[in-house]
Amino acid sequence: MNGDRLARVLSHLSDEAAFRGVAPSSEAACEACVTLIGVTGAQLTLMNGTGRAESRYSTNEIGTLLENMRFTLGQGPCEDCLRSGVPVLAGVLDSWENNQRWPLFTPSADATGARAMFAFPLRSGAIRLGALVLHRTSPGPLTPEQVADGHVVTDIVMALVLDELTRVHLDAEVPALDGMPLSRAEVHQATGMASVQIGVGMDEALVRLRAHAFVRDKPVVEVARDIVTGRLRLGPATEQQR
Amino acid sequence: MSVENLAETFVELADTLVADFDPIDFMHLLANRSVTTLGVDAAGILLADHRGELQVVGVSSDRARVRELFELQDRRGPCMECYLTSEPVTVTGFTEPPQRWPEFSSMAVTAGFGAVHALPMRLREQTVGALNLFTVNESALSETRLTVARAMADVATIGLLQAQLISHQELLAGQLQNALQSRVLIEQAKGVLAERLRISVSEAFHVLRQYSRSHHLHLSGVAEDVIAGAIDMTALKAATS
Repeated sequence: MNGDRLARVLSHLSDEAAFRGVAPSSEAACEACVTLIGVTGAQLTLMNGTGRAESRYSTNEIGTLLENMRFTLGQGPCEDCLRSGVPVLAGVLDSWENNQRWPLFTPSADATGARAMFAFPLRSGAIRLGALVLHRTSPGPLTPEQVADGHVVTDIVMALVLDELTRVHLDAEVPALDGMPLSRAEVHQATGMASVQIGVGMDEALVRLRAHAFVRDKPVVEVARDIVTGRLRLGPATEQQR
Repeated sequence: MSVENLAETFVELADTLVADFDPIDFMHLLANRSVTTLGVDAAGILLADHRGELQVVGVSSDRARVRELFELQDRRGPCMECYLTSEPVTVTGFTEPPQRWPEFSSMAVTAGFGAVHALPMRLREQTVGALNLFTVNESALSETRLTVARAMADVATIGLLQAQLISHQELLAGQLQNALQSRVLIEQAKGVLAERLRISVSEAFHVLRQYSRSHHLHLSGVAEDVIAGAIDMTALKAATS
């Protein structure tokens, strides 16, 4: 059971990407998770750095419409998920509670044909990158298995988004996704330390930490350990020290 | 193990089970209370994440060696065994071969321990994690102590999930996510603080705890403020002395 889910999800994602002839990316992962979890569509919303969330990708028209409604109305499962940083699972979208909770969003979303929405946060502590939102045109909750898969896919999408940010930030070869978890305490501690050393936010500090590791072909955990023990400091100058 | 101490522990734990509740604070309290009440030498609480890997959410000691011993069990070891089988697991004596988890055993010896107990954290049919107890002594805990330990594992589960609120899946998933994310937040804040105050990460945790206690604030709230730069560092520094 341990690690199996991750391995299974990763192989599904890479098979799908290969079948479609595209490189693994957050967009490709969105497409793949539709078939993996068995929903109608998926859509990715990312924070744009100024505190506003914007659509990054949508697998279908309904996803685009739902995201537009979130953006204009400021309501709905995705909006709540972005704000709270925890999953928001609405198996029956057009319920009495949801009409109370999102009075403007719920009827509009219903009109698109969506009957269930499931929003998972792209989050690691203080780092909040956005949300992965799944929808179905038939109502009903996700099974515990589907919820677990949803979390794993979200982690992978988060890693892919971080990789994409790393590439923009630095002309480094980003290694293929290996499913290496970022859940070690040292990685979080080192991210906090690096954010002070470089003078940037937590999300950029993590991107820089990963970039440092990729450039030197070292595991992220090892670089994190070097930072925590004081053997390594990340400063504004590190980029030139290749 | 005195009856007074036990009563006091449960009263203190019950006090934290109010609406405005910080899971990580609670887990650390429970870990510390397990040590004093059960007379063990180190205690840790591990919760399974959505991958089925165990994450350390509360420890009685922030010593790197002890922490590593808990973290090492994320995929295998007594805690994982206990989580997977939903049954208590006991290992006494880490030197006598054969050892089922050799890497774990040798690290336990290095850390100075002689025995480990893992107790499942269960809510109805679902197991969410394990309470892990280490002793320097090589013998197993007495039946009485184990019964109390089991009660503490139950309290941990109820505290975490606030059973009366759990009416459906979403809440359960949300609570677990919340606890796991709070833990990440605290680790990040420890890093920020360690760098700002030029102290070690375990000292940083101590500072966070002291500050949140003396100001009656949630540990995770203080962590968020530290990361956001919303806390005066001189005030935090005062907590170090």
